[in-house]
Amino acid sequence: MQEQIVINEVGAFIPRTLFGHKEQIVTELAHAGVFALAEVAPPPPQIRRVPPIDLSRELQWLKEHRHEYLEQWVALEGDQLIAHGSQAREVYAAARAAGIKSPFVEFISTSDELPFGGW
Amino acid sequence: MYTLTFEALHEYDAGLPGITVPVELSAGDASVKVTAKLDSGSTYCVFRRARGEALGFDIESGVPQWISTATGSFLTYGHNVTLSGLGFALDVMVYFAVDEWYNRDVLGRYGFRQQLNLGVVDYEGKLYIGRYTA
Repeated sequence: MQEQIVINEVGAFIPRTLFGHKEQIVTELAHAGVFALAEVAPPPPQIRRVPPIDLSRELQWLKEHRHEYLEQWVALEGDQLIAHGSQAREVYAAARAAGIKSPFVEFISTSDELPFGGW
Repeated sequence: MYTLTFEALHEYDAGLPGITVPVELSAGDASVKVTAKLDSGSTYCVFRRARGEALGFDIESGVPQWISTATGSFLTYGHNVTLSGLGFALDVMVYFAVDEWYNRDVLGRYGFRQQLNLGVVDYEGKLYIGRYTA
């Protein structure tokens, strides 16, 4: 009985005896170059502890001022408005020009007031 | 009875739509801060095009991925970033929408939820976080 995966110029044949042996199938196909091994079994990402990101002052500012900047992008640093405008690219650039290395830029949409429906 | 333990607590504004999570995306020397929504229905972490461009990515040079929604589908491209939030950081692929009409930043299953244990007490606006360990 055929127990080997056969790969030739036509394609790949997986014998029924290997059905259910996912790891073996995947490994053999990967080693044969059907796909890259890295695509088959990516290693789980390493998780590191870092300080939490605090945007509480920015969110408070948005609560208090959102009605003033509807349909605009705003760049905030703490409770300070750094830049605003209709183009995200320009607002990001203005924030970086102001010396902010990791800017918080948000678009204030009128639709944000509707309940979020997920997908 | 079942017991889970968590390493961190994030308190979010239960009055805002969805569960809002402050995160930072970094690629090379560029970083941006974003308030993303924790989305239990999303397979991937998907961000607006503007976020990817602000990180210096040529969006369309990434890994193409169509995303299906209740109202249709849209095209995204994946890029590798460092995603930091809730006291944890991980190097993952996230996806940036091609179309600028896409106006959400969401944290989905791959690249975020799958790596963390999350406990939600939504009435109190509390999100408990721990690292997933096999």
